[in-house]
Amino acid sequence: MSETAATRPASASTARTSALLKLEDLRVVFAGDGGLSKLLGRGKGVRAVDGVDLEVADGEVLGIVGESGSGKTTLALAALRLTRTTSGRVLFGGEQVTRLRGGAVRRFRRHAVMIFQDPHSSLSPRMRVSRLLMEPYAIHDVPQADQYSVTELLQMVELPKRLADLYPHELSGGQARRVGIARALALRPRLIVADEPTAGLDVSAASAILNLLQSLRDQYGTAYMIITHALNIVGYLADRIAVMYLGRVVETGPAEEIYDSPLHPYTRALIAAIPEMDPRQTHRAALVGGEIPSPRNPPSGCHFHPRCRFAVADCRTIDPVLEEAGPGRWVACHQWREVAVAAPDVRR
Amino acid sequence: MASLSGRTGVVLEIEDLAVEYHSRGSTMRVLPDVNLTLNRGEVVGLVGESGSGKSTLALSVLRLLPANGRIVGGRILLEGSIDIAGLSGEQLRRLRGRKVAMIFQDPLTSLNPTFRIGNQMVDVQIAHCAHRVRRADRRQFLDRAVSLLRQVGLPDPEQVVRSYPHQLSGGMRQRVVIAMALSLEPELLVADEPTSALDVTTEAQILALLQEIRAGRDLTILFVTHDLSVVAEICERVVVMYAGHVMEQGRVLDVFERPQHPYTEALLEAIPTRAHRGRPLASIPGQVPSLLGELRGCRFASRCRYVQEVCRVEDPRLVASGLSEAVRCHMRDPASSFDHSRAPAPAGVVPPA
Repeated sequence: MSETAATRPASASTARTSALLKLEDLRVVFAGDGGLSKLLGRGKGVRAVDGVDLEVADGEVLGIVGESGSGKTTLALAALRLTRTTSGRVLFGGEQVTRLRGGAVRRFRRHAVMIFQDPHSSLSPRMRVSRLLMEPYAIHDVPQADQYSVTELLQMVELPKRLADLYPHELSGGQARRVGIARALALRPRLIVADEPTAGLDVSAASAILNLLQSLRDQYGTAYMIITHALNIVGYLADRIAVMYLGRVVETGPAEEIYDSPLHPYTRALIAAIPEMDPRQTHRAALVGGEIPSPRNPPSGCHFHPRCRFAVADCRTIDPVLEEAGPGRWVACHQWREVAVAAPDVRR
Repeated sequence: MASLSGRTGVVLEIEDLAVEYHSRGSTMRVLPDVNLTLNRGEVVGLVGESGSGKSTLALSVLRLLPANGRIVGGRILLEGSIDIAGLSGEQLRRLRGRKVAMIFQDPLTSLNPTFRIGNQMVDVQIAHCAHRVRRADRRQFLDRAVSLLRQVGLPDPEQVVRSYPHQLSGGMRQRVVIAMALSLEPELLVADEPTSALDVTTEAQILALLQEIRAGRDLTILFVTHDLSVVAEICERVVVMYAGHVMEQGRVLDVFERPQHPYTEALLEAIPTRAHRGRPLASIPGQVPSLLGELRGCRFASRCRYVQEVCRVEDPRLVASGLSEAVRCHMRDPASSFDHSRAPAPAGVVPPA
């Protein structure tokens, strides 16, 4: 189908080809309080994304995980040039996205698309589903021969044909989400960035969406960047996971390894917070107390140290950098070796 | 049944509750006839998809239905004696907060953005104070607010009482709302999706807090959620609702081990866990049926994988089955004309002990 429709091996976690998307030392700083405080030099600005290096290979699924306020949505927007980056580079297929101008931006948008968190706010309430589905073709001047029909698109996302004549307000949350996905698929993109693709959906509708993303990836070889706070969702879909905390990536690696042997104390806490389906299991440990601090005023040294029970003096003063902890495993923690020895069981 | 002796027995008993919504000349019977019993100190999970009627049921318990909703039948008995369904406005005002309190998914719906947390917590106590409020009382109420905020695990409660709601994070606001709900020492707490908007880490903290409060105060909690994993975590009993009907209810462990209703089984299968990696998740095809107009047969029939002809024409009865207390399914009803030779064995997400 698309030019990237390479069939992927079942265990794709190691199948790394060239990077489709590459983020290099990416920073997004939002202006501080602005106005007067800025004039007075008090506006410190919010470092929503604070020096992130990441890669997504062709056909790979990268999960970005973190609590609200961790900067994961801003990262996604910056990767698609939907928000201004302060410094660093975004490379897509080797081209520097931040330098694109005019028609080149539009071509980029054809290959890298976003599925927004709130499906209803991303669909025009004045358009019927059929027109919403064809809108991307109009924007990108796609010749008729390269277009899917409305029926084909509805079929891809497993929606009944009769929906074509409805308006967004007549759709359920799950249906609207599928229309959003169909719009993204219409252009046969190489990369789909999905922000909380199952948030606000019933369990059954959520699992249907996850199945759909999985099968589309198998069929078309599309690469995904999936943004979520729910680790069980990326655990189901992702090849690799990057964990973010206050604008920084604190750990990254193959999804299974992150799950089975998380190294960073924050990742360990996130894993421990995944609910158990077995009522006999001891209750999940609320391993981490407190809440993510404001990115306006992040803690010194390791941002996580005030909530970390393994913190030592260095953690308060020295910024940890990502160090290689194994093949494809990176962790930014001064104490990760000690933590693994001191508390081998993640759930304690 | 209505044992008022000491601290045991039934706290809430819902009998044949029927609720209707009216809009543009049409009537929707959202709850046809719901029966439900809550024992003292229990946490009961009320589970279902959107449109199942779980929130309507929760709101009915406090008579907080929207203007177009009406209780048209049945009783809601609190501690065996008070029928909430028949109370007057003034009686309701005295009951809410004191006997039954409610917390919502979005704590901002219960907090006034223009008043400090401390003032709002004092006001709750003033509103329910029997005598005329003096200055000394106010100070005492504020002290109590601080102590409650400390009890719900907020660091620096003296600072929190001086804050406005927007200055607090989502998790902190939910703790504040829980503290407010506890301030009049209710018997029953109705919690409508209280953790659904929170991060997993914060959710774990709030659930642990509710556990702790329940144990410390002998509080009864009706926990409304769409998330069965939350139910597994903090509830003793679970009630599964679908299109206004109770489909299955029982002890959480029993239901998770051997769900008797096909809907419960499908819901349990649809939750992504690590074990699912690479395999498709079960989803339930189709939609919740519209409650407008006449409904015949089992309401889940159109989406059920075990459906037979009888399911589409006859209403299933609520019967005890397996270890579940009540199941509304022809397949589990020996008296039904369902071909039981084709009924599968119950399969849960948890292997039987």
